[in-house]
Amino acid sequence: MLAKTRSYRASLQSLASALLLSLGVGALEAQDILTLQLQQGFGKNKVRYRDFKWEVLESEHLELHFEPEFQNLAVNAIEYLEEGYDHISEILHHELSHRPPIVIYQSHYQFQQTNIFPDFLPPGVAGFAEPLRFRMVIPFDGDLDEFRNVLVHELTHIFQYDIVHKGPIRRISSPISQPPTWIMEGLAEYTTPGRNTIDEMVLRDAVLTDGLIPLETMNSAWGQGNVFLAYKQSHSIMEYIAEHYGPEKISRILRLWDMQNDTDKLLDRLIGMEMKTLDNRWSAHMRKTYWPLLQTRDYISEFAEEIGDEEENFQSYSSACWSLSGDMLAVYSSDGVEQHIDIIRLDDASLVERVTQSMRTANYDHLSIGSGTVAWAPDGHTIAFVAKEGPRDRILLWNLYDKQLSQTLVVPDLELIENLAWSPDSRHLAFIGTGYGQSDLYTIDIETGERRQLTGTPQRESHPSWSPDGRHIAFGAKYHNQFDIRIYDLAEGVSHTAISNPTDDLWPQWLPEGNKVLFVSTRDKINDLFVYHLDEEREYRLTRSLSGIMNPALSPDGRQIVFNSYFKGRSHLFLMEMPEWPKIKRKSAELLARVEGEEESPLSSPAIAAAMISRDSSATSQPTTQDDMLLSNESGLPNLQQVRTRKDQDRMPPDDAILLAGASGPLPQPENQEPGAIAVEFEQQDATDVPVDDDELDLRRRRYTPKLEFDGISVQMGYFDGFFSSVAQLSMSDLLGNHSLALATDYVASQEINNDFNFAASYEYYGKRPTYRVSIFNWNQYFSNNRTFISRGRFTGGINRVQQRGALTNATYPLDLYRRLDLSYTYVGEQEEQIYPIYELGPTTSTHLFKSAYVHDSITYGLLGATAGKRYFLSVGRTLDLGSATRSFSHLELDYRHYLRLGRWSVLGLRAYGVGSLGSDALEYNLGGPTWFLPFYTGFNLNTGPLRGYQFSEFAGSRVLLANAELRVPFVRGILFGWPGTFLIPAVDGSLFMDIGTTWNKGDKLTPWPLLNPHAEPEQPGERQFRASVGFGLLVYFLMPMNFEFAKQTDLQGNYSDYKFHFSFGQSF
Amino acid sequence: MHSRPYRNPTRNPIANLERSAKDTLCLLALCFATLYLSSCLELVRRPSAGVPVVYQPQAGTDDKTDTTHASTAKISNTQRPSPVVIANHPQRQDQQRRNIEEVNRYALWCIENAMWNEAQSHLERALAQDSLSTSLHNNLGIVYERLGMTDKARDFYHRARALNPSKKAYMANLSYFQELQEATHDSTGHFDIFELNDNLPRRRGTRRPDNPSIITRE
Repeated sequence: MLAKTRSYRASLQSLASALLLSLGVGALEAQDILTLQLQQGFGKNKVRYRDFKWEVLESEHLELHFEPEFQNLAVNAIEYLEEGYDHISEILHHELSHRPPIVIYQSHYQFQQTNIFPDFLPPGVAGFAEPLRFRMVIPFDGDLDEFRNVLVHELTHIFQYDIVHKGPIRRISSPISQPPTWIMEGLAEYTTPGRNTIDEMVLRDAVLTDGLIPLETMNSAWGQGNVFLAYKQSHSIMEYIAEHYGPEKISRILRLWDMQNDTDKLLDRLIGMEMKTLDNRWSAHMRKTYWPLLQTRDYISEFAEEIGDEEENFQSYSSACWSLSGDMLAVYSSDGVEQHIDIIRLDDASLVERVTQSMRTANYDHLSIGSGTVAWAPDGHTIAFVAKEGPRDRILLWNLYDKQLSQTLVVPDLELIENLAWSPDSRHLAFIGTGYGQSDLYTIDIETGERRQLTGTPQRESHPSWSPDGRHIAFGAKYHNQFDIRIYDLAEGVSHTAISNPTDDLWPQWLPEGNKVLFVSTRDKINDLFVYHLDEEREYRLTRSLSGIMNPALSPDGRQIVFNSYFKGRSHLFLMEMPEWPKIKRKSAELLARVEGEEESPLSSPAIAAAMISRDSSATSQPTTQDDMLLSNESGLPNLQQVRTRKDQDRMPPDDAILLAGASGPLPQPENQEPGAIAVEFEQQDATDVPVDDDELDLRRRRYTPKLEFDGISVQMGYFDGFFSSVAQLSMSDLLGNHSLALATDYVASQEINNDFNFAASYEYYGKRPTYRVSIFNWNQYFSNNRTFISRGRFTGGINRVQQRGALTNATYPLDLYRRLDLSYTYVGEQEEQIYPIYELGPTTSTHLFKSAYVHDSITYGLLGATAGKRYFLSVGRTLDLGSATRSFSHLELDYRHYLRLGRWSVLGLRAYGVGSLGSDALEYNLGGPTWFLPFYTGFNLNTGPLRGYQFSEFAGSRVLLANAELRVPFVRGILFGWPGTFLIPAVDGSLFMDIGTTWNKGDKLTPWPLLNPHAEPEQPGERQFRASVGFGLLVYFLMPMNFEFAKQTDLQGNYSDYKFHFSFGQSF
Repeated sequence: MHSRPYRNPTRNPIANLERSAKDTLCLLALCFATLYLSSCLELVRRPSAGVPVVYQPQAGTDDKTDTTHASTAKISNTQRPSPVVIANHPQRQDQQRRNIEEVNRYALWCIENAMWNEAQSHLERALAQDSLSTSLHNNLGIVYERLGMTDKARDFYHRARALNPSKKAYMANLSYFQELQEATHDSTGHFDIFELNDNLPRRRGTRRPDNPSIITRE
């Protein structure tokens, strides 16, 4: 074979060629290029469900990319950003050196389709800023206040990059000279207005349960750990520094980092103390802040009982809702690996039924997270839950009697669906839907699918709850970063504010008697339960908790409440008894008596705005327009005081100023001829959204035009056995990441040959659902041939060169998140020649290869590999046989992997693999050793392993069969080392494995059984037996997975070889 | 050259294995068929040992037209209560019957998982929509009895009996219930007809009646 005669001179280029993998261009030999094309990858798909049409708004300091269909959101964003810019600039004493590009999406699901970030963006990601090109990408999640907060947070990062990474080499220096994450994120949180009560809850819990993350190891929390707490802690530390050492210290942090890259020394110069001292002082400050609460507040366990032992069950429950009898709960459960809708017992949380068993990939992409995504119908036999399939959420109805899905409700123009609530007759669902850049309250008829839009404000609505008579819906409505509870009258089509306090009032739940509403209010920044009596117009406090209460759900008889609370770093599910009405009054008085001088009183009603003018939409099924607005002085409920409070007056815009999203003034039309040439003044878009501001935004609008800019440059040089090689890679893309161009050059020089110049170029397009890639290359390979010459009086070996020119084209069509079709065509023309010491022209060959593959991948991943699911592909290829100078072969490859969960973290991985290259010019594959340890192998890795216990790539053949089984069990989670330096090894697993496989060529006699005895002589040429090995290993995650494996060859009949040790990077399979 | 010894097919271990595998498969199929049938049947409590009620109505038959196959059954000689006539049976729709079957099946599932309140809630809700279903009355009687609501249980047993006097299982349930009541009154100790039999395998957290339920279709 050609590969065997070529010497190590190719090895230098093999390293270079590995660098070019990202270009899709291999560089060793034609076989390697073809093999690269034939090697099929796994992975989930980023599906582009629609074509985006972008425009750009330029303001004084920013450049915003948006879609015209939600231009009002874009104007809001610009306003928030400009306000944020001034705010951040004042804090950091810095002006941006350029106008940063900001991209906004109208929902998280469209945000997930961005090409600016190549990987999958999970639901928890609220936005990102990237340091290479200073881009910000933010989705709208239905809440304008949250939207503003995320915009300001990410804009702070842009300021940080601008301060820390200066000058022309900033794109090179930025990834390697960044301040610690806790400083970067803490600053960004510091500039973002306020902490909500959930933030407070998490921080307070960590202080009171000694769960604070040590500052020394805080950075690792962003990789593995409680990320949410890390954000809040970092924020709090920044507040502490500003409060105790002066706000100007905040602005100095990043500038000092420029001079001093050590965190301890940075803090020493900033505030005169090291990190540990700061950590101790801040911790003491936090304890002094929160510990006094113990005197007046109750642990949740004092008035409620935890449902089940979540530590034992490894499950975290949320969105609990009751069964008909109250014996069971339907919950959204997560064990850190898989998410399901489960039915659990109320008494011990044991699993009764898994609603979503085997549904993923068949019925949906993933379940939607968040409160209220599960609802149990009052008829007792239908459970509704929300899952994403394709570009949007859908409501799935599961019949408890049949134990199967009975109905799927798709709402075409809404992308996010949250907060499900059943009507008392189980015929309608109320929910919050987000689409077109705003979220509103809707109802849908289960039988007819008829949808009704109840609100039309750009502000956030949440958690609807039907009154027992089915005539009203109570829901949370946000205004100026604060939730009130409003009640919608379904007959009249108007809503009014029922409960309004200077704090958030959330999660309303009607009591069965119909004249009381249970709700959560955030007095003293702690979520507590209250009952509001609609007839008496009074509220009564039910709890004074230490932790806080989330997602309360009242049992059908109104006697029990389940809710979530945060304790020791995670959310738990609790059950409390709902007191009888007289006891509620007494309880409220008792809780009030605990604190003197508190403003609240059961006799002093909170601000009630029963008669405020409804600014919600009338009952329409279409997004509300200005004409739809109704002004009404009628209250939706009897006995509510017809008083407009000061707060409501503040909220009320002038009547003639009432505009809703979708009815705001038009934006200027784009100018194609002179982008950015026209200055247009904008008025405030939505009077109900923000206070009317006389400031006018100077905006320019233009269409987005793709323009390639540099992403990065990589240069590598090396010398090996007389050959000098210098590989340079350059990558470019447009701002939205739809077009990507990569160039690679290799300058090769040696004493024996003339200087040679190789190049490869690759263009990729991601702008539509199918993606395309085209590559061209002209790449020369050098290798020693077996000929000996006398040159200049001494023996010398001949050197051959293979000049390869060709093109690769790939097209991929994602069927959904988990499945895709790949098609490719490859042309490689080879000209072989001897170039030293004498020139001889060699043979010319060419290859035309067509390949297609079907790929399925639904695996969930942990640090050390797959944790559940399966993946497989079937790949078929064939070359065009155009004569004797063309390669002729067929390719067939199947790889099937299944990962079975055994307990929480243990996994049994099973794999079956086979590849065959058939024909007169069949390709050759290698087998033996671990899967991948490229840095220690000086040849190009075509290994199809692992077949541990044998030499790396010990076997070669045109056909390979391989089976693997590996049991992975967790040994250690989170080892913190103090020397050298402080670092964390997050996971160490143990493994037991068995591999069986072999390679052979056409005409070989293959003997499946018995397996080759490790002590026997190797087979004769033309004969092949299967090889097997068993062994164990340690899988360590430190920066990347590392495997330390010991394997013995065996014939599974009692004969074993000695142990062979393997070290490798990456996951075995 | 060695000749291969003749193997008697009847002694061929592989052939024996195949045959035993076939037997096992047949047995398994029989078990599954039995289980399936039992899951389609109506929940009826079996009387005490020695007084078996074997009752397997044809699938899909209505209570009114049901003809039992309980000819071999011996019913306790306990005095039968006088039937209470509630209403004549109208001809119910198939959909209605299917709904009741679903509810009965779900109620059994609840009982198997020791969720008696859940079973009660669903049976009561179904009964509110179809007050003439004998199976719902009978099954609610069983649930009420288990929950200690003996008056209600007696009443519902009577109603089931009255709605379908020809169904001997209902009569058996009523008779057995009355026997138990009398035994309980005569005894100072508590007598629980659903006392657990520890020899029976059961799912975690579930409590099954002493005698597995016999279920019939609506």
